[in-house]
This record gives sequence, structure tokens and C-alpha cells, in this order.
Amino acid sequence: MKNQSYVELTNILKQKIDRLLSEKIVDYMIVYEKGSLWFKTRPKMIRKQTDMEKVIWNRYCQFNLSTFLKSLSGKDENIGIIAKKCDLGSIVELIKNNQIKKENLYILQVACDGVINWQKLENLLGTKVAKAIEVEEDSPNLVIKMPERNIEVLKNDCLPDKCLICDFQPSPYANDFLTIVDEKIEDIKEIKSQPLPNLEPLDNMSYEERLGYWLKHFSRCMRCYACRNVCPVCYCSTCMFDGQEGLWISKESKTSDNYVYHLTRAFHVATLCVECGECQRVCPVNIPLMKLNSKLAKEISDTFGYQAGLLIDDLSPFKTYCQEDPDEFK
Amino acid sequence: MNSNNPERTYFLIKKSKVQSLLNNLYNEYKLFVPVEEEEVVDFRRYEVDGNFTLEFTNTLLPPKGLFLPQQETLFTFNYERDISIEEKIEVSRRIIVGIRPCDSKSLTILDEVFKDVNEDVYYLQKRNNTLLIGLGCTNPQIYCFCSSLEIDPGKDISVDIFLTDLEDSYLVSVNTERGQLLIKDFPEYFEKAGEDEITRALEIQSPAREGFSVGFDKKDTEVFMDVEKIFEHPVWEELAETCLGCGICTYLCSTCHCFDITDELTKNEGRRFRCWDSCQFFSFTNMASGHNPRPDRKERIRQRFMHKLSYFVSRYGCIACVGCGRCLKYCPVDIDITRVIGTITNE
Amino acid sequence: MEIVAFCCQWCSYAGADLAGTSRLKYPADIRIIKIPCSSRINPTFILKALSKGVDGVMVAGCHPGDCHYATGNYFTRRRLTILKRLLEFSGINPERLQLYWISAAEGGKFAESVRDMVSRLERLQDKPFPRNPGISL
Repeated sequence: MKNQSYVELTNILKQKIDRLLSEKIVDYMIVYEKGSLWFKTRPKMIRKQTDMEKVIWNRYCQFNLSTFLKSLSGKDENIGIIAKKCDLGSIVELIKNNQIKKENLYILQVACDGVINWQKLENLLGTKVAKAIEVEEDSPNLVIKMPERNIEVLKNDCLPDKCLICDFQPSPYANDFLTIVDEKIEDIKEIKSQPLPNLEPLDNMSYEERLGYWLKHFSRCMRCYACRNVCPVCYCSTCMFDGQEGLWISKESKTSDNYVYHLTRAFHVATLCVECGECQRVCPVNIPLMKLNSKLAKEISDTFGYQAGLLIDDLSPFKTYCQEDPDEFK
Repeated sequence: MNSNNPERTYFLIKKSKVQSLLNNLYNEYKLFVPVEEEEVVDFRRYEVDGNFTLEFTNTLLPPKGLFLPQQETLFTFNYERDISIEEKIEVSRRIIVGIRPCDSKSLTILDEVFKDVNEDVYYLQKRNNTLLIGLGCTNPQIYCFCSSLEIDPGKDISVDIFLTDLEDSYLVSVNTERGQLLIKDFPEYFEKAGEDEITRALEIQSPAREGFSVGFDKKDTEVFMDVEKIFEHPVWEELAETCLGCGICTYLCSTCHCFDITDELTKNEGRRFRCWDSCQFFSFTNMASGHNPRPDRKERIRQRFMHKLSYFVSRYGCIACVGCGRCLKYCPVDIDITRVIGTITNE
Repeated sequence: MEIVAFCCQWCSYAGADLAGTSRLKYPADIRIIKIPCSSRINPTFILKALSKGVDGVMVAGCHPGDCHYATGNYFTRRRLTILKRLLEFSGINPERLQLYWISAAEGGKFAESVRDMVSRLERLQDKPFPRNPGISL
């Protein structure tokens, strides 16, 4: 999307939000605002129309805002939220699991053709990132204008994996879909489908190699719990790993306990995970958490034919059963 | 740590000789060097002919972990007929290579805490045993704001030896006696630096002092000393709305030092260990009675900023922040200490 | 060999009792933990046991259709099917986790199941979870 399109979309967005707030359709709106640095944005709740100028929509809005819809229990407020196609999945899961009522939610889906992953962009640019003046899109490239000379990077190299397989279509659950006439979603769909995180190399390893692979990654974990806290569908009000009733894992960041933590986390959200990739994105030590999530999603889909985040009326496979379920046990 | 301050001397070391020097140092010291792994640079134990890099902006984890490890056994105990206790104090001589000026400043800040009232032998012993080789910044990250805290990214006199990148070699500034002894042990690696190299180093250093993208005026932070005024400021509520309550900012902070002490027992033996804890976690202040004086994100995030900018200043006279930019870089919701200071002072 | 066995209190635990009172022989490698229902199993129980380095975890519940709580074991079956795949993906041989259906009347089957578990584990080439993994400074 061209910079101009983002400006136009931001303006439409502001008008819509203005109406939602003034007509009291929502009590507050979860939006993006400009971040501290040019390639960052941050989530923001706006309650007053005077805060309206803070609202922004650009290619750096990668955060999945639906994480702020969890643990709201007890508060009976109407909430508006800006959602990308990928965020809609986790909103569906939150509604499905009674974390929020559909009628209390106003979902504003915004046209999106992929959001830039900050870290990927930064890794590509190195310390030059500080010198950038402006970024313009020249499909399939991003042109980063620098004082001396421009740098061109392939946009797909800066996108999170989820964008590479997204169709960017309007969701049936969105209350409103914002797009602009001259850039239709069909045009945006130039990005070709690519497979999700490639699990094959791991599948081909021996058990010992695979365990070694994971333990090496888990040994770096420092248990900051960002993967858990950022996850939009990890919604327990008290996590079993924070509980007072017993220490399932030591306070030490032991590799064996990190293994228990990460596998439990992945398993707990197995039927809810919509592969938004937030856990892996926020991990400061780059643990490939999405491989665990994607593997589980694949197994659940293969075994029970279920995919999370699609339909509100679907029943989670762990909340139901069939007498004829596969039984490999004796 | 080392207070003796002989006259500073300057040497040169060729970049090509660094690995061989490290191999020699390896025999006598536990060496920690920046190593790149999975796109992340961190301090790791150096092995002979092992990987290391001195071309990095900053390590992911601050070097505080080498003095206050994320988990550390303090002592083990055993009860047969009598109680026997064995203390675990690191005594080996160590060297850290490539520590940035902001990070070495953070160690002098931590020293204040661990020297205070009760000397923390586990930390201080490691500090005394460790020789620091600093490395000047010529190309700061977009997140850095050390100059806001009056730290010079191109110069550092608190380390024993300080390196400045001169393209094919490093200018070696020796600040302490300990540093000089090290140089004397390995004369074959170092040559005397000439006047022009020293001036050249100063010239190279100077661009590093400019070009910061974020920052604040240190004088502005004085408003935080008025605790009563700042305590109920609306900014805390606003930050709490989006804060996820994870521990990234505290664990990656070079000056955050809160820890938890736990005993682990099996039958008749056990150990006492301490590990990092974070004021951002609910359990940090949760009491046995069930009462929690910091029940919500608002109180917890306020604690983090107030501790750095107010409580720490009144106790030790300096701000507990060195502008390394790690919290800015890794915060998932882009909570930015420079902006918090800006919001409060711009009123 | 060390095996942790989680037995449901209505069927399998009673089955183990029966194996005992019937003086049936089975390997002494298991440590039984009584649980109210096989669906009480949280994946963390299994992961925690395995991460401590035990050779295997055995979960035993009522036969499908015979759950004391009517349907608990159907849920267990679904969860453990997926958990086995996750274990496999994380580098633990899924054979190290087995689920058995043992009724209160099946003391013989209990003893047989323990023998089965032990012989399965004895055949494995790979090692269980290391006792002290991790890179220390």
C-alpha cells in the first residue's frame, strides 16, 4: 500500500471512530498510535474525542490488539477495536470462549496488505535504521530513503510469516471494513502464498537431535513471560505458573522447567491458537515458539478437522468428544 | 571498583592479533566475550579459537548477569548429625571483553546497591576478581540515549582497559594498575600508541556523541523527586492500560537488580539460591496473607519508573538508568522511558 | 527403570489393588499416583515427570464408556493423542507416554499393562530427558 493510502485510511478511520465515540456506540476504542521511533507503533486506548489525533494506521501496526480484550471480566463496557484480518481469528476465539460478548464489541477491520515486522526490518538495515527519512512502497520493494542514498529491500523479507499466507479479505465478523477505492484488496493480493514455518527439518531429526534443538533454545529462555502475556488467547486470570497453591516450575530459569513451561503454554492454547505469531515476535531471545504452535495446530487439524479462529459456532475439539475418536491406546 | 588511578597509558593492538591474545588469556582467566548466536549477541564463555565479535551494537543481555546471575546457588547445606554448610563463592579470575560504556556504568551503579549496609559478598567477590575491557561505541543504536545520562559512549574511565576502534587496530587506553599488569604480561601484542593515533581515536569517538534518536534532558528528571506530586500522575494509568506485565524491561535492564531467595530441599540436604525477580510480576509483592500492596499494573509500572528516577536517586544520588536502550528495543508495546519523562515534564 | 503411573481412583487404582490382593507379579518400576479421573491429568503433570528424567509416564483410566463421571476419559483420550504428537515433536519418544484402559475388575490387565509399559521402554534406543540439561556459565 502506498503511503498516501495509509494517510487516507487513517482519515477515514478517525471519522469512523469519532462517530463511534460521539454516538456512544463504544466506551473506548483500542487503536494504534505513533511509537517512539519511526518504524514502531504502540497500542492505545482512546476514550475522548480530543485524543483522536493520536489514531494512526500504517504498515508498522503489527501488534495484535485483541490481547487487550482478554481478562476484562467484570467490566461491562462496549469496546471498539481496530483489527487486521489476522487479528480477527483471535477475536473469534475470545468470543467463542466467553471472554467477551460479541454485542459488546465493535470490530473495525482495516484493509491491510501485510505489516512490517520491526525486528526483520531492523536486522536488514542495521544501525542505518536510525538515518532513514522516509519509506515508500514500490512493489515488491520498500524504498528506504536515506540522506546519502536510498536502500531497497524486498517487502516480503520484512513481513511476518502470517502475512505471506494471508488473503487479506474482509471477515464476516467485522462490523465494518475500511478500504479505499483505488486500491482494491484484489490488487493487494499480489503476495503469494508460502508455506508456514517449515517444520520439515525438525520432523526429519532423530529424537535426540530434536530434544537437543529445543533444549538449546529453551536454555536461553529467561522466563520473562512475554510470550504468555502477549498471547491474545492465553486468557486464564491466574496462570498455573504464577499460582500460590504450588510451584509447578522453580523460580529459577532451569532448562528442564523451561521445557515444561513452553510445552504447557503451547498445549494450553493448542485449540485456540490462530498463529498470529505474537509470542515469537516478542520473545527477546528468539525462541522459535511458532513451530510448537503450528505443529499443534496441524495435528489438531489432521486429527479432528478443526481450525481455530474461523467460526464462532465451532466447538473446540477439547471441549467435546466422539465415541468413535481414534483410540491408539489399549 | 578499582580505585587506584595511575596515569593513563595508550597502546595499540592489531585486530588480527586479538584472537591469539584471547587464546593466551584463556589459560589464566575465565574469559567472557560477545558471541553472536541466533541473530543475538551475548556474553559467553570463550573457548580456545572460539567465536567472538567486537562488531556489535549492544549485547541482548546486560553484563549484570555475569555478576548477579539469573540464578545463583548461594550455599548448599546438609543435615546428617550436624548441619554443614558450604558456601558457593566464585573465586576464579575473570575478564569481560567488549563491555560498552553504558553497561560498565551500570556496574558502578549496581556496586552502590551491593556495597550498601550489608556487603553482598557473592556480587562483590566477582566484581573484585573481574577485569573489564571496555569497547567504545562509534555507531550507537537507534534506541540508545546514554548521552541523556551524561555517559560518553566514546570514553570510559571506569573500566580497566578501554578499546577504541581504529579500523585495523584498537587504541588501548589503560586506566588502572590491574590493566597495566595485564598489558605487561603480554608485551608482544601491544605497541606504543603515537600522538596522532590518540588524536585520531578522539576524532572517531566524537560522532558517537551525537546522532541519538531518543533522549531527554537530565535536569527534567528532577521533577520525579517530588514523589507526592508524581505518584498519582495520570501517566501511570495510561501506561498500565497497555503494559502487558511481562518481565522483559526488568530482566534486560542493566541496572534492575531485584532478586528472590528460595531454599530447595530434598530429604536432608538442600541449597539456597537466588534468582532474578521482576517488580512487574504480581507475585513479586504478593504476601503470604494474600494481600498485595501493588495489586495492579498501574502500581507495578509506577514502581519501575519511580525506583529508577526517584527512590534510587534519593538513596544513592544517581539515576538507575544508563540509556542502553534495551527496554525501548524489546518492549512489546513500546513503553519508552524517555517518553514517560517527556510526558511528565512537558506539562 | 522409573515409571510414573497416574491411576484413576474408580477403575485403575482399584485394578492395581486387585492385582495386589490377587498376588499378581508385575515389575516394581512404577510409582502410582492416585487421581480422581484420568481427565484430571493436566499435560504439565506428564511434562513435569518426563522433564525430571523418568523413563515413562503411564496414565490409566476406566474403559471408554465406563467413566465414573460418564465422559471424562473421552476427553483424556483426545488430549493425550495430541500431547503424544507434541512430545514427539519436542524430541521425546511418544512411546514414553502410554494410556491404558483398566477397570476395577482387571487386576490381571493392570499387571499386564505394567509389563507392557516396561517392555516398550526397554526396547527404546533413545534416552529419556537428561537429568541436568542446560548451559552453565
